[in-house]
Amino acid sequence: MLFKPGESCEICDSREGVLEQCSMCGAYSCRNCRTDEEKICLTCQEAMCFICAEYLASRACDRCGRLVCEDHGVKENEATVCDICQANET
Amino acid sequence: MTLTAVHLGMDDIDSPRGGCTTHFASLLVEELSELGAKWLDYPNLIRLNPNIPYRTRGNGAVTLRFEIEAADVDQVLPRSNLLLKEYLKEDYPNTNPGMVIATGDVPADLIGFSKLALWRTVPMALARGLIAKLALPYIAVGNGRGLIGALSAIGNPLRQDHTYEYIAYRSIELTSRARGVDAASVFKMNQKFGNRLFSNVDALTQRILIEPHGPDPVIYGIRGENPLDVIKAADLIQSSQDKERWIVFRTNQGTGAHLVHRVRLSDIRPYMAAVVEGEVTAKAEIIEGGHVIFKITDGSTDAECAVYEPTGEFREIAAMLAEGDKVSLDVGVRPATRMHGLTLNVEGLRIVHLANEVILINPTCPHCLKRMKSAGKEKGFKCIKCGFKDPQAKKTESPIERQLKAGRYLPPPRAQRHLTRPKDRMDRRNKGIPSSLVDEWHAP
Repeated sequence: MLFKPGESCEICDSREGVLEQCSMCGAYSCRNCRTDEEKICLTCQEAMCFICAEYLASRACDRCGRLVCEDHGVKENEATVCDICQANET
Repeated sequence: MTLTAVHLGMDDIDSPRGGCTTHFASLLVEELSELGAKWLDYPNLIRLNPNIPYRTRGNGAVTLRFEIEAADVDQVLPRSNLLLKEYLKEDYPNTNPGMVIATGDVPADLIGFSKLALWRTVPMALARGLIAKLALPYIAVGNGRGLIGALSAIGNPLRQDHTYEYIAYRSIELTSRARGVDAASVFKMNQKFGNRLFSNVDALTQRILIEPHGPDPVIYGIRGENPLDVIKAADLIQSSQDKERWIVFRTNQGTGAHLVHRVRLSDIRPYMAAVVEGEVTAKAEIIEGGHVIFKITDGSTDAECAVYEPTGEFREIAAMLAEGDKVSLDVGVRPATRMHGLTLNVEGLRIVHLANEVILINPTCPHCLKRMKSAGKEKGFKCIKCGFKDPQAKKTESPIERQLKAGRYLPPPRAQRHLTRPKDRMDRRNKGIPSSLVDEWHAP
C-alpha cells in the first residue's frame, strides 16, 4: 500500500484542522500532536537526543536510560554509555 | 457462570542484563491458569518496528488472551502486578514495563495503533491518550514506555499470516552460565522437519540460530509453521542446561508484517520500516568496516542506502549494483546525525531491472580486423599492422555480462530480523485464529 502523507495526522490519524509538517522529521501532524512554535511533532519531541536536542536519538544509554544521538552516546562492549554517565564516571 | 474475554498485553519486562517479557508471560500463564483462565489463543508474541533505537533486543511484546469469570476480572491486574514486582530488576534504569488490560472484543482504536507500531515510531503521549480514552486498566513502571508495546500486542490478534515459536527457559539463577545447546541435535531436528520449521540454522556458516547469547532465561527458541511441530521438534534438542519451563507462542515472526508500506523517498521519516523503489545513481562502494553504500533516486529525491558487513553474502550482492539498476528495497530508516545524512538500512532487495553495463573499446581495422590504436588526441585511430588510419573512428561500446540476476535477495538467516519473511516462507501463509489449542502448549 502506498503511503500518502498529508491526508491525515501521521500520529493520531485525525483529519481535523490544519496539518503541518514537523520541522525535524517532515511528518504531517495535527495541532494536538505538535508544538505550536517550533512545529515539532510528538514523536520527535520524545525521540530527541537528551543532550543536544538537535538530532534524533539513535540509542538509549544502558546506564541511565536517556535517549541520545550518535554524537552523545558511545558503544562500550555492546552497551551504550551517554556523555553524562561518562562524565560522572570520570 | 459468566465468562469475560480478557486481553492482557505486556512489554519491556526485560533488560540487557537479564529477564525477558516472554519468560514473564510464561510465569503469568501458570498464575492465571490457577485463577481459572480458559485460554482463547496461544500467547501472542508480537514483534514491532525493529528500527526503534530504544528497544531491548527484538522489540517483542506479548498478549495473553483468555476467558475468566466476570467476578475474577478485577483480580487479573493486581495478581499480575505482584508477579511483576517480584520479577523486576529494579536496578536497571532502562526497563520501563507496561501492562494493559482490555475486555471483550479488541477495540478498533487498538488495531489501528498496533498497525502503526509495526512500521512507525509511536509517541508515549498517544499510548497514554488511548488508555485514557478507552479507560483501560494498566500498570506502568519507570517512564512506562512498555505501554506502547502492551497496547500494540493487544491490538494485533494475528488474524492474517502467523507462525509459532516454542521457547524453552532455564532457571533465572543460571542465566550467567553457558546454555550448551548441542549443534548436532539442532541440525538433526532441522533435517527431520524440513520446511515445517524455519530460521533455526544458517546453512552457509553452519551456525545454529535457536540459541540466544545474552544473560536472559531463554535456552532456545524453535520457529515453525504449527504448534505440534515445534513441540515435537523440541524433543530432539539437547542442551547442557535443564529446561525449567517451556511455552508455545503464536507470533508475527517471519511474516514480513512490518514491510507493507511503499514510500516515496521524499516521504521517508526517521525509524520507518518501508519499501522504497528507485534507480541506482552511483555504483556501490565498499567503505571502512566492509559496509556497502550506494545511492538511489525515485524522482522525488535521492537517498543513501547502506548494507552492513554482518549481512555477508547479501552485502556482496549489493556491492555489484551499478548505475541505472532499478531496485525495490526493504529498508529501516536511520535518522541523520552530525556525521551523516538520513540513511536507508537495507534488509531486503529486489532487483527489478538490470542496466546494461558497457565498456568502451578501440575500433577494429576494416582491413585486417585487428584492434586499432589511438592516433593521438582527437586524431582518430590507426592500425599498427597495416598502417590504415581513420581520423573519424571512435571507441565503441561493448556490453559486459552482469554477474547479478534480477530477482529477490535477502540477508542470510543469521542476519535477518525476527519479522523478516525468510526465503522458505515466501509463498507460505497461515491464516486465522486457531479454533482450539493443542492439549499441552506450556509446562508448568
